[in-house]
Amino acid sequence: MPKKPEKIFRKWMDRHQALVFKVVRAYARNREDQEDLFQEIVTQLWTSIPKFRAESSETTWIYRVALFRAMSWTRKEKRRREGWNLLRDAELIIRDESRNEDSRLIWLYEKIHQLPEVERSLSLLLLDGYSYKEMANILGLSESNIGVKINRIKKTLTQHAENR
Amino acid sequence: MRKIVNLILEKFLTMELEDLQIIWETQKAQPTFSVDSETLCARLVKMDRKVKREFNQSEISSIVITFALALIIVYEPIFKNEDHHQYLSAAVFLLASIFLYLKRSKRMKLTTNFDKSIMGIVDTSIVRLKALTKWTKLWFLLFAISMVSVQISTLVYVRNISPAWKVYIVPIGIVLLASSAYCSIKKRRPKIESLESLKKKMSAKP
Repeated sequence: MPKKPEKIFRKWMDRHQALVFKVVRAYARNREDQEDLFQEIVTQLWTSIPKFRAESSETTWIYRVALFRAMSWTRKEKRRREGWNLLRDAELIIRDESRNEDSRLIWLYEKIHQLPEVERSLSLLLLDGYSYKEMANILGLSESNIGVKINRIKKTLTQHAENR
Repeated sequence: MRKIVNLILEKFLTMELEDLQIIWETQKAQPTFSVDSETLCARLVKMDRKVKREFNQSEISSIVITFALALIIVYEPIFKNEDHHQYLSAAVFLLASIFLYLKRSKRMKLTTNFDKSIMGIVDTSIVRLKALTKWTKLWFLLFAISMVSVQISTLVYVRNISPAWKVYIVPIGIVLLASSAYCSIKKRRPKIESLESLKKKMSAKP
């Protein structure tokens, strides 16, 4: 018997919220944009539940949905209608625990922000240890295309590291 | 001391992917944000219900109103055997109620297609949005043609329309329909453009 969407969503959020926040941070800089993008992604994840089949892993599914929403998200689209604002009392839902954050991580996110949007998603997958094949499956691109893009990302990120 | 500083500097200068991954992994031990999934889920369920309720109310009432109008208009030609030209007006309203019903069914079936890859999701989203645009144009044309036919038949059968303001109903109706169709197409255009640009960026040869 299929599980209730609420149950699946809660499980996803409990297990994979860090992944969603990584995507949010890579694509939105300030707090307001981050809340907006977070809302967009969780809404999309919610609507994706009936389509989820166990063919792919939960992590891959969530990454795919979150990256698609982040790449197609624009600031112009901000949902400001009252009824759609999930985070009206944002403090109740999201807790910012970034005070004691590693300064190198802040620096790394800053470098990721400087990459174009498609490369940004690849850099997240790369840093999370995905293989070229898995990245190609998630994005729907050829492995050779991914390979060239990844080499460029590695070069850019390590160059940035050298210029630090 | 100088040696130690040089060693640290050297380490930074030769930062490899593995080093970046170590930095990346620090998020696991100390998450930057955390979310209360219970509260979030409760809000999503509430929002989902609210949106569904709002859609249901507006769509069902529009279908019922247009269908009832078609029945009211068709009453005289059927039971009093007069004003036969009103069959056409009734047909337009019936067409409107069918259109609204089909639009509702289509909306209920429409969910973002979650393909096996992001490129697939982008492709299906573009196709879906373009199909919706075509659909809007097609229905606008159908309505405009039907309304013009009603106007012509009224003028042919009744000749003298009174009160005179009734003559303007159809042109005003067409203008309103056209502006509503234009707004709905215009609303979708930026989304299609942004998805097409994303597709272009994704498939760009490195």
